[in-house]
Amino acid sequence: MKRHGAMRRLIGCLVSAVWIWGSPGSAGAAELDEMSAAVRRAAERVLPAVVVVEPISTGDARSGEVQLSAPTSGLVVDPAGYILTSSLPVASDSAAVLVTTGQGDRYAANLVARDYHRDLALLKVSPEEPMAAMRISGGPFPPIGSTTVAVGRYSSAAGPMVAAGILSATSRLEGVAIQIDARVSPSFYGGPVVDLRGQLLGVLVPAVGEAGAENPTDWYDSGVAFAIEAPAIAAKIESLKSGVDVHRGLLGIVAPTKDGNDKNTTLSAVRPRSPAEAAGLRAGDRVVSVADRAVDRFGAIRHVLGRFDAGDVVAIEVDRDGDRQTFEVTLAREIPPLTPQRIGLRLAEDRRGDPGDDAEDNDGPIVVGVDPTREVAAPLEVGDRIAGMIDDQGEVAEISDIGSLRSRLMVLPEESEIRLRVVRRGEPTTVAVTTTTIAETTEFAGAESLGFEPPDQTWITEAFDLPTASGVSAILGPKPDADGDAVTLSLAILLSDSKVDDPKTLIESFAGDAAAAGVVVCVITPSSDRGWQLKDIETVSTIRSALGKRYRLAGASISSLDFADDKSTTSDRMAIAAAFSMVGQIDGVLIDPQTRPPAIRLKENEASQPIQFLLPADRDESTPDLGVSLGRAGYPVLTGSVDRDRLLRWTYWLQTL
Amino acid sequence: MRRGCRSLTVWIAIVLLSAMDAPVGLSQSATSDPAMSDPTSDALPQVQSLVRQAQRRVVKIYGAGGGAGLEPYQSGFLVSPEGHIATAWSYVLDVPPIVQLDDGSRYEAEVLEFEPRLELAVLKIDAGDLPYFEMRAAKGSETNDAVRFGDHVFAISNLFNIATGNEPASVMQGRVAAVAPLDARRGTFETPYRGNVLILDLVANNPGAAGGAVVDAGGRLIGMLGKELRDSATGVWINYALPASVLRSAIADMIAGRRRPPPIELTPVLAADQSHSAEKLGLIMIPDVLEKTPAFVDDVADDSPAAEAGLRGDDLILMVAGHRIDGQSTLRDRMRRIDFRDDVPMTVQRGNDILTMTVEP
Repeated sequence: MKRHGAMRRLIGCLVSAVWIWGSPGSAGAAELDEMSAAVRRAAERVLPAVVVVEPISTGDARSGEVQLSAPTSGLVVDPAGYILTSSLPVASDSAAVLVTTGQGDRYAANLVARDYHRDLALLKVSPEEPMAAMRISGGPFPPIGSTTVAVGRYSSAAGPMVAAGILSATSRLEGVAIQIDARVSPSFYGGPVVDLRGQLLGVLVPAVGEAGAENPTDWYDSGVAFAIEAPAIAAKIESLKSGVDVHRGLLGIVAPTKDGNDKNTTLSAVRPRSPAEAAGLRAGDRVVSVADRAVDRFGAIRHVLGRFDAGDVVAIEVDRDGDRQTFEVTLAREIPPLTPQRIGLRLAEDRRGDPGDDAEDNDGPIVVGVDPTREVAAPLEVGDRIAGMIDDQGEVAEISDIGSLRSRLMVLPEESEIRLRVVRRGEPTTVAVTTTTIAETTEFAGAESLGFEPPDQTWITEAFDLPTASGVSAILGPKPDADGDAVTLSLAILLSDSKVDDPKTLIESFAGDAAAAGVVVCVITPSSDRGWQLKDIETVSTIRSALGKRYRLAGASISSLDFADDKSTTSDRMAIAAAFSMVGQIDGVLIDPQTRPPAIRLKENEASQPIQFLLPADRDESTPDLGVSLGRAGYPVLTGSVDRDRLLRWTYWLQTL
Repeated sequence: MRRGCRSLTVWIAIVLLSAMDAPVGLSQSATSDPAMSDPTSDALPQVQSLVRQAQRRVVKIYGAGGGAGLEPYQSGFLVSPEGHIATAWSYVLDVPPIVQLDDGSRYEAEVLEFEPRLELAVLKIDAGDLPYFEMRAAKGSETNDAVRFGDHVFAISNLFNIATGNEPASVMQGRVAAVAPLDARRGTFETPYRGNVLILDLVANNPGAAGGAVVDAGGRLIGMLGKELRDSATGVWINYALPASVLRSAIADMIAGRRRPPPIELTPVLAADQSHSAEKLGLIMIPDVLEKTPAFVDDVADDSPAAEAGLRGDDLILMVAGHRIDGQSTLRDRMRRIDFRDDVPMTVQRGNDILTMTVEP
């Protein structure tokens, strides 16, 4: 019953509106009754093959509101007793999985294989007689707006159950599912969706939109329901029957920009030991098509790749220095996690020349500070322009901005020998550098040694209100000055465990330290006395965006206001949840090492918008579980004690590469 | 998934209704259904006018509650021209309720009678010549007790107390998803009612909706919206209505002042020495150490009724006397409900086989 995000409600209702207006607005009762009969006829085409699937004795485990022991539905796809269902009935250990047919026959089912990519499971029972089965074929989908019927069986009586709606979309969830607007309750999961002719369109799974909700079941009954597309199931069913699990296929390419909608498909990096590297793809290749589909945005590449599984071979066509080349890539289930690297430089984008004016000379970021604490100080000087990078494999890549250099450093193997192409006082030169692993960092250079010049304005603490959020936030930063040239600062977001009358009082004591460290400090409190709610993520995100407009910011950290206390609070969990939700807006997360990870799926660190974690544990202590799982997902995990000074230094240091 | 999205669906329904140009007619005979006999007739009743007629028979009820998330309002519908109102039996009726009709007029109501097993109450207001749903035995098209899954329905209620004064109650459309009994788990039912209900595919059962009317495409009453309830099998909010076919005679009896004999508890818990238990039948279960220990048989006593019936160690008991057994506590509870002289039909899983056997005491 938790609802977060007005947007989702709006979407749900727009979808419903289509159905309302598409329904016979001036119909007589007879037309509605005819439609009801048509819905029943469609359901009856498939009902003989629909069964109840029920795990026995799974305790009280839940996915959101939904009990994992809930009886859901399944579809018999082979008379020999193969039954396709959602992953829900096999999501937890159970003593047995019981299958009940519409005739009341009961069978014990064994798990044959799982499709982890599409959240499906294939079960097998051993019937004495062949079972009524639905053959899965890969026919075309009817037009959007066509009536669809979700079919299941309900309760111990295994009676028929239907919900009708329209086809809202195809190729959803990165290309694997259709979306329908029928209000689908959990009993339907695993059941088929058919059109009015009874043709199978898909199999219902619990799912929400990307970053949509905490649990895949949270959108039940909402009018937003997803069913795995029948053609994709048809392509995999024989493999599943042979007991082979299916996993999503990974390629290992890194986006050029944070925004997948940018019209830019040039690879900023290729992950080491990835299928992309094995096939010969390189940074700088511009992707033209994937699996014969033309792509012009990185988001489109992701969408096309989304439907492929590990082991699938995909043709990637690229433009390399004007030549078209096609690479056959075999997608992998796993790619070794990132071991993000750094070279100890604070950089600024070059803003001197006009675009197009002697482009060669204006490409690449400028060094404005060199980290003196690195064990091997990079032999670069303030004022150097970085124009290119030659990695340990000898691959040459142009560097056009800070982001492209960051992406390349993020994917390098540990302690890589690289060479940088540098323009120093107008003369090109090459400098050899050994990278260091970010996770190994123990000392953070302060702003003063990274070329920071404090702005002239006085720093003030003030309440920070937005139309959507007032009384929950205060900031400490330089007084806005229309004339002054904006200085690049960093941002520390501090989360308070509880609501207070005047948030200003929480950060006033930071005044002198923050100005010297070049860090704007922002405190945010929960919007209600009940503490942090998931909906507050939106508030945090809005405040972060607003601050980005107010100051010129590079590097942002988020942590509990009580970061120095040796205990885990809801603010720690909120910090993780907010960082993962605000992709590209947070660079560092400081949390207590005992923090329980939030229920959201731990996504892999992204090379184009990396996040690092600071867990203030002593290095001698055994690494906590949280650190291990974060490290496995490619997030640098830094340790060591933390006080206010160190938090501020780390926050400013986050922007160094 | 509730509340948030539900209420917006209501708004859409209200938009739909506001476009209606509803003829007003209190006469019951006007609802007899020419559409069914002649679909091509120009006199075809528009669904909108049928819905409007039904809406006029739905009332808002205000009573006790207000704290701890208990909304002090619910819905009801008129079942006689003299002001008899059927509604859900709930805490709202703990004080003499106020009833507001479709035209905005307000009445103090008395609780005439209630039937806890159907979660049904009948109120009476002092008024006459009101539009109402016919409750007496079926006479042709006035009733539709043959409700099937897939049937188009309209749910009319004052959910969330959106409608105030003379605003008409909210109408939502959807289908009967299933006609089935509510499932029970762990030996507990969420509602005392045991028969079939109409499971709806629309998000109808929100605060204030209980007691609302569910009508079919012809405007005929087919059910009464139940109280907010979580499905005990899945754990989620469920949308359901008690079928009119079940309510009809009870309501008619209450209006007529006939008392009904209390229904017999089908399977009450018996005294320990009057009922079966796993031990008495010779079943030695695995130690019950988990919150929900599976009902695995550890061993079977020699020459016991269980051994006679063919039960063995490692059998997993799935059903007893037609009821699902999801753990040892359910098994104990179910055994206590069977007379020690009666046979005990069991369904067990042995390896991959499902076996049915009867243990004779």
